[in-house]
Amino acid sequence: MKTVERLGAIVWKEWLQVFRDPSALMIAFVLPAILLFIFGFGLSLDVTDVKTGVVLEDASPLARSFYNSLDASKYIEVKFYAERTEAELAMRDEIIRAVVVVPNDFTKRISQGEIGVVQILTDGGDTNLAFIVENYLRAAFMKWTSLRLRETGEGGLAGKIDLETKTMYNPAQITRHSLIPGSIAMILAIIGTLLTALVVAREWERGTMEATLAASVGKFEMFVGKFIPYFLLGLAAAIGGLFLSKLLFDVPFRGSFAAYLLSSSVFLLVATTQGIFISSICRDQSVASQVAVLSGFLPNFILSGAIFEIDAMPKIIQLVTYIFPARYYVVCLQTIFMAGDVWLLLLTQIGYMCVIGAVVVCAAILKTPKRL
Amino acid sequence: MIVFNAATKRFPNSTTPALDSISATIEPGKITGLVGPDGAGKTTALRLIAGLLTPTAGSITAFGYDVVKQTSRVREMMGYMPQKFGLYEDLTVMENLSLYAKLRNLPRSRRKERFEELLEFTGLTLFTKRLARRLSGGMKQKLGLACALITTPRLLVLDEPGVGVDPLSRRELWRMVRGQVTEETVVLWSTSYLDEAELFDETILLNKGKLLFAGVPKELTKNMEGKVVRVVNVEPYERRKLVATLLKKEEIVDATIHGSSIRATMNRAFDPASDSDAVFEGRNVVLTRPCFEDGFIDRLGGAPKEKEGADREPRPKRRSDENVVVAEGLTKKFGAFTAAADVGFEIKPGEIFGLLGPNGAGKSTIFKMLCGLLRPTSGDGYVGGVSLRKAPGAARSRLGYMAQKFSLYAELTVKQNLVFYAGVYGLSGSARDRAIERALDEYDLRRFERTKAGLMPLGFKQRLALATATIHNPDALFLDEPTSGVDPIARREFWNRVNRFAEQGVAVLVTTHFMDEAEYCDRLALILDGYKIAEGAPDELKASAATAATPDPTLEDAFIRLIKQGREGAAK
Repeated sequence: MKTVERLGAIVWKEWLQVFRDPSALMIAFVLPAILLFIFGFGLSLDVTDVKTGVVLEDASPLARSFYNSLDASKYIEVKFYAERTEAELAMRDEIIRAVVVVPNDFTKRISQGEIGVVQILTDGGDTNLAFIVENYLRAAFMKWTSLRLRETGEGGLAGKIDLETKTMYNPAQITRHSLIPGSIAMILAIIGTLLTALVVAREWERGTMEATLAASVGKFEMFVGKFIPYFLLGLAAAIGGLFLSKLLFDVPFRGSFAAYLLSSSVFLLVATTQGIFISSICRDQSVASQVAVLSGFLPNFILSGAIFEIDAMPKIIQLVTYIFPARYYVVCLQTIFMAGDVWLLLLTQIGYMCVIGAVVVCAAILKTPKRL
Repeated sequence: MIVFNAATKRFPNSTTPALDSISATIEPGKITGLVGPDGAGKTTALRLIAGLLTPTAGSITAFGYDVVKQTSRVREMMGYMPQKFGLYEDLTVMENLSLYAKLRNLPRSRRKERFEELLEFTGLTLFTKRLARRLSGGMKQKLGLACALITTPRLLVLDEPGVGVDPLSRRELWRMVRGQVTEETVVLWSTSYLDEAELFDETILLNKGKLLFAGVPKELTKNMEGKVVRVVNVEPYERRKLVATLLKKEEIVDATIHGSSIRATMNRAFDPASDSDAVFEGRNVVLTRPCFEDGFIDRLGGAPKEKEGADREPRPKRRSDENVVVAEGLTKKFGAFTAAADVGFEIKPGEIFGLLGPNGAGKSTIFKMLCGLLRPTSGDGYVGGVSLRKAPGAARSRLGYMAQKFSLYAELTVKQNLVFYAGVYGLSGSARDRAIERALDEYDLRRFERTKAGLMPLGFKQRLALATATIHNPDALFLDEPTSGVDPIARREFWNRVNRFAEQGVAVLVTTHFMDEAEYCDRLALILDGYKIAEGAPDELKASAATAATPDPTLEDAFIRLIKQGREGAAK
């Protein structure tokens, strides 16, 4: 009973403080909104007019129609080459960024009932661009085959082409649609980790931690009292972020609200505990904010796969991404936004987050000193 | 009752213990003062009682409960006010009270009554809706006390409640705490103001973690009885010389300037018949009442004796009588807040001018404007006739500045610090080398020449800071809270050096919140809430506050009187 009253008092005090402290308000509300706008409007990883060389070794009407469909895409600027070697040289000299080759047996193989192969060569020098171009070309190829199917009834052209890429769920290739979910993960990290670490460190700095501990408040009460308001604040931001991204950017949302809330809660649990853990080690606001940014915000930005493709990272970095919960949360978000409730996938990712969460909670409890 | 039983606290990465085997008993029914300079171990001792730290060795009990094993028992009966008062600045007065009432589980039914009682008692009834951040230092302190008193504790612990508060509020707080003392309660009050020590019923004196004295403060001064004298009516130009002369004598343990007189302590009882002539050169000497600090100095083995030949080649004396430092209507506003309002004064060569006021009064702001570090909103300052507004760089090169935290490079050696500052002040070649050699000798820093500055004891850091600030032989010396954190011995040594600079014609500006230290100045300006409320020699200020009830007021009495006058004036 006593504990409940004390907890209530701390939570209530925390709310008053957040709404009266301009710097906390900035971090809790203004910064997330700015981030969302930057990702929504300002930042786009769409690359237009990628110079692509096309070599038609097979000049049949079928191959020509594929060439025309590429030429019509606004993402690709087609340059025609007569010889494969000529095109490869042009790519080496960075005149073009990719080469599409329709081999001379293309039509023949299809007419014989075999698989027709279109080759895509990309410039590995810029992995990110290569990745994007490859996806564009794959998408263009798919579009062409489906169009052919509708117009002429010729099917089976793309039958064996591996299209198991994420862009499958983002056929329009608008990166905003995958960036917005990523930015929600960052917002939650700001509120959960950065804001929590700051407000707890501030209590140390201003001597209020000393006064409240001496007023018979246990560490447990103190930290649960801190956890609850910032967890709720983070949840509110998650809902607000979803609302804004639907309203302003018309991002698809194919999953359920329940799935969104569940995965966000688990992620916030880890992020907020991480904030408390940081502040119990660094009792200085400036150090706490730096650690929070380095361990919470930046990994969410760089290593979560929201902006940079994890598959395109060096192997060793790929391994590092596994320890950050953001990686799993971004998969959840992108699935819920773009694909829908794929529960098996979602629950696996949530499970991983729970494992990391358990480690962080244990560390926070162990590292929390009993006294000053 | 609180019992310290050989309690020791060692912090990791520290060579000396913060508290070194302290044994003491603190009795109920009294106000006990925990007295000592910064770094003496006062806060550590209070935190040990509150169970916020645990002793490395030994034990402490409060009312029979072990503070480590039965921490929550102890905390339940304790009211604790940390430094900076432990208030939530974004909450209102009432919300702070209400928060602490809930944290301490004061039954709901008793809250309203208790709040009214405490608000009435602290005079905060009219301010319940004001945010704590908008309260003055004195009001914050009272609210802090009210929060600590919320459950009528048997043990009241106050950590430096007087810092950052004007002397009038400090006296009011004293009265309030006195009103809380019953036969049952233990009150523990820590302070670094030695002049406060005599007010306590019992005093525990700490220095560098060691217990120097425990008991009734009168006990400490008792055996100083008959040894302390005052040389009265010393002309301003003679004072510093006389102090230096007296300190060289074998019989003299301590000598300091107090307004127009000099206070001296002898190593034996003063004998008016022989000593007046033999020791005091036939001057007018009267016996005076010893104070707590005299006892403290005596316990520490007396004031530092000047080394012969420390100042072998005196610097050329400045002859001009022109004001070296002039402040004209200095005003600084930060948004709606006025940190300094129309402050003006002049300092002549060889004069020590003090800015006295509580923390947050605006002393440092005035200071920074005069150093050219902060641009005044209006008004101007001059150093050596050069305007700080028009040519801040040129004006700055005429002064030496010693900042509050000493501004030394902890990772550089003593020598490297000196070389760096000599370069910053524009010295080079042989002039630089001479200045550095001289500083190493004069400040007795030779043996630390290759030591990193951060590893030296505090007193030596202070010396080095003064050496770097004066390496270019400036016309004016600015000292911002120079003696905070050092013990009275180091403080005396420091003032002896400053006096030597004044002797050579350097104009010295010094800020302080120690009332007793202000007595060392030739003239003073009292600063409160950004305003200069009075200016004059310490004796003049004291004389202005003399009444029938207090014929011999202290500087603090004078300050309090001026604050009251100011408030009454404002009320009208």
